[in-house]
Amino acid sequence: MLLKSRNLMRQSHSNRSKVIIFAAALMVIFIPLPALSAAFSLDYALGLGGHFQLNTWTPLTVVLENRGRPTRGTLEVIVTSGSEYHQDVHQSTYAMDVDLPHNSKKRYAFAVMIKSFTHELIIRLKQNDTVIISKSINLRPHFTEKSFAVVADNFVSPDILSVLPKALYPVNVRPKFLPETWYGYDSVKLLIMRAAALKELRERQFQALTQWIKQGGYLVTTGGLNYGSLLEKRIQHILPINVFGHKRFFELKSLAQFCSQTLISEEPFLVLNVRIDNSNVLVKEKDIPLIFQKNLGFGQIFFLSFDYNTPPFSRWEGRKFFWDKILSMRPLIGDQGIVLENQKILDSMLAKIPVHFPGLKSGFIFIGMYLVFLRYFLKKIREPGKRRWENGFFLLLVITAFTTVGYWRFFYPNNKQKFTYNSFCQLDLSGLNTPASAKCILGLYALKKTAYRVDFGSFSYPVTHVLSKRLKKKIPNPYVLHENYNGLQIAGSLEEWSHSFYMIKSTFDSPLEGHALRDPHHLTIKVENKLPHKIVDCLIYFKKRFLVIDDIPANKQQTIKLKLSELKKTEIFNDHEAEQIINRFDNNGALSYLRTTSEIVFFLLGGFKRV
Amino acid sequence: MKYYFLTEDSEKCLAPFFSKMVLTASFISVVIISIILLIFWPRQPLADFITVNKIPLAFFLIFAATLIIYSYVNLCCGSGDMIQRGYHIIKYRTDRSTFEKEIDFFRYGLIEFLLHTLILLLPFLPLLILAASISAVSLITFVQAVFILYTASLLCRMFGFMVYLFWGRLSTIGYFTARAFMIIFIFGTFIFAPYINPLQFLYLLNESPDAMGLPFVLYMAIVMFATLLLILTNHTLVRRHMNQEKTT
Repeated sequence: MLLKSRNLMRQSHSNRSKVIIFAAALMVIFIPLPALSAAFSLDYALGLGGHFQLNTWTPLTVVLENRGRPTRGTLEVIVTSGSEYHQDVHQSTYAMDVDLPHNSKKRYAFAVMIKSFTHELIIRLKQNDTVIISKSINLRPHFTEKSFAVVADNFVSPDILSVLPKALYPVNVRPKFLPETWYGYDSVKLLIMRAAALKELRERQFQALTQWIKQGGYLVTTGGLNYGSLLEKRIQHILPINVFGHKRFFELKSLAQFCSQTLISEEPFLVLNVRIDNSNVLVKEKDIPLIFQKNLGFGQIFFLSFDYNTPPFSRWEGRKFFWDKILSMRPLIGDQGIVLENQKILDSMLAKIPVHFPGLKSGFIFIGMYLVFLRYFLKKIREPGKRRWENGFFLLLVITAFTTVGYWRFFYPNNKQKFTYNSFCQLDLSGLNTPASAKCILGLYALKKTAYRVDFGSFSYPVTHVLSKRLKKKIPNPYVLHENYNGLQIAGSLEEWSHSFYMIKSTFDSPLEGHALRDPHHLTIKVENKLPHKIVDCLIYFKKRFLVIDDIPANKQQTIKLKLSELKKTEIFNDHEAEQIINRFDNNGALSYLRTTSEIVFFLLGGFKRV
Repeated sequence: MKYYFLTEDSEKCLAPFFSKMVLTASFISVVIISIILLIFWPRQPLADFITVNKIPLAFFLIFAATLIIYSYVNLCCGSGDMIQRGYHIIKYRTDRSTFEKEIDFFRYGLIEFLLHTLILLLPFLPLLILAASISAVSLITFVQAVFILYTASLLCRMFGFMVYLFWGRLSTIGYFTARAFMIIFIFGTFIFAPYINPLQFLYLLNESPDAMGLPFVLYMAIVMFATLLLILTNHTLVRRHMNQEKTT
């Protein structure tokens, strides 16, 4: 009995210890997960002042704080677009590599394209495949259909937003939340910021701002009383300003020429006396320039010699008229080039996929020859005797030879080309020494399920997918726009016999330069190709005429000399001719363009990598 | 051991390798597949398929046609339809015992069947590789598909031989049973056991070759198991026949 109870006790002891070990194991497994996420905090600033415009690139700043052990992972922003009704709901993922040491706080800036406010935006931090922390944002309260007038400053007079043009959505943004990519300003039509705020920008932000202005952006800035910021080297680079001190005024009557309102103050106020190289003075008061206009690329910088944020300007009743006038002077960039439908470009690109089926003719010859040989040796092999084994060997040899030829001639080439690409780039040049606006479409094609990576180098491009209308599927193949230490990459995958198209709209330094020289009898035209690739079928548009200049080799120039009398005989370019040029993209003429531009895009983008 | 199927074309051999009948059947099969291949050779450019995300079915169609023809030839070889029509058969219209019945199955029939099924497949290879190149399948997928052809045909041959052992070469029941089996295996399994349907499997290999790892193993395991059962049955039946011969 005693023995039995001892045994029972021992058994219960061992059971209890098993339970404790099991509980401890469970704790070891489950405790780290919440503990890991508790060590992180995630904060964000969406859009501009918490707002974004639909169908435009929107800045998103994510602030991550790590109070736990050092962590490396991927920060992902998932934007869902499309509608259930149209069955085209799909997700676009923007990712960034993050490295968070112990007790660190880091800021990560994205630019995301938001096309729908009905789906939540997800921000999450992942380590391998484990989500450490995630946050969902309801987009409904944040969206607007208007473009923005942004006042980027830490401190602004309370009513400045109310006097900004009604056509725009006025917002105040803290400079640290301004975009780090030029296309993050996609929805901004007017950016107002003082030089002190410009100075606060991080280098990437400043570069993005400069790039945006060059591409048609519009910045209104002022020095204020403290003009030290204006003398900063990087600001001088875009706004070469010379300061000659302050001047005291009681009124600015000349503003009436500008916005039909005069600024009169009972108290005296100071205006900065400055000169800006290569700029236009729009308004002057007693020889002191008040408003400067400076072109930068396609965009403009307006410099105000007075501070819009302090009295008397901040209390001026004419402010509304003033800002309306400022907005009306915004640089307008229209579509100057030939407008080509995306679908037409995609069709041309698809027609020029660099893989083909084996030709029917070669297949026919192959099969025919095989059948002849097979028939011959099968007949021979029937005959009994010693020759049967010899013929049998030859028959095997024939089969092996044809199988090998079939493999190398037909099977291997198609197998090798399971992933391929081409591209199309349209450059529009508006004049000398101006950037070229470009629309580039990159086509990726796969005959087999493939993962790929497209490397864009260190420069950021606004990459969007383009869907062909010929495709029944209304959603793109999965891809991630991944930004890491090497720059931007598209990492995606393609299904069997499928394609993906990506479009980039950007501006580049013009790769072409042309000069015309006229003497009493001749016209000499010189065109320089700065590209590392040959340009074929080059036509020059000069004095409403298209002149054929033929091919221009890479890094070379081509010169043509024309008699003026002959030039006058050349037919003037008309709509019919324009139509002919466009039609060339539909017909076989597009092929020569495609051949050349594929190399150009490849050069611009950096390179490809198959993974 | 003498392998008569290699050296003799007599009516004592079930399917002599070099007999006129077998070689003609083999050549006609290749011609039929060639015609089918040329008919289904894509006339549209490759870009048209990529544009609409459609996979060309040439691989499936050619392999399916080969499967049907090649399995049928093997079924006929197994069930004695390819026997050389000699003096005895023409004169008496009765069955005559063959070497396959008289010699131990493991030592003669099995080796013959494994070898002959393989040899009959060889003439199709250049055409099959052409079909695979049109659908741009990988070499692994091609090899998998060839394995499917071989195992399916071997199964048909084993079944044909079992029918021959049961009912003989001239039996009507045997004739229909063998063909019914082939129809059920190649077409009928699509309804009640799709995972062992070779046609469906070839179609899936054409559509998504990368996803075929486990289903391929499962298919092969089931078909090989069925073949093994037939091998054991055939062995038993041959043994019984040999014993009967001894006692008489």
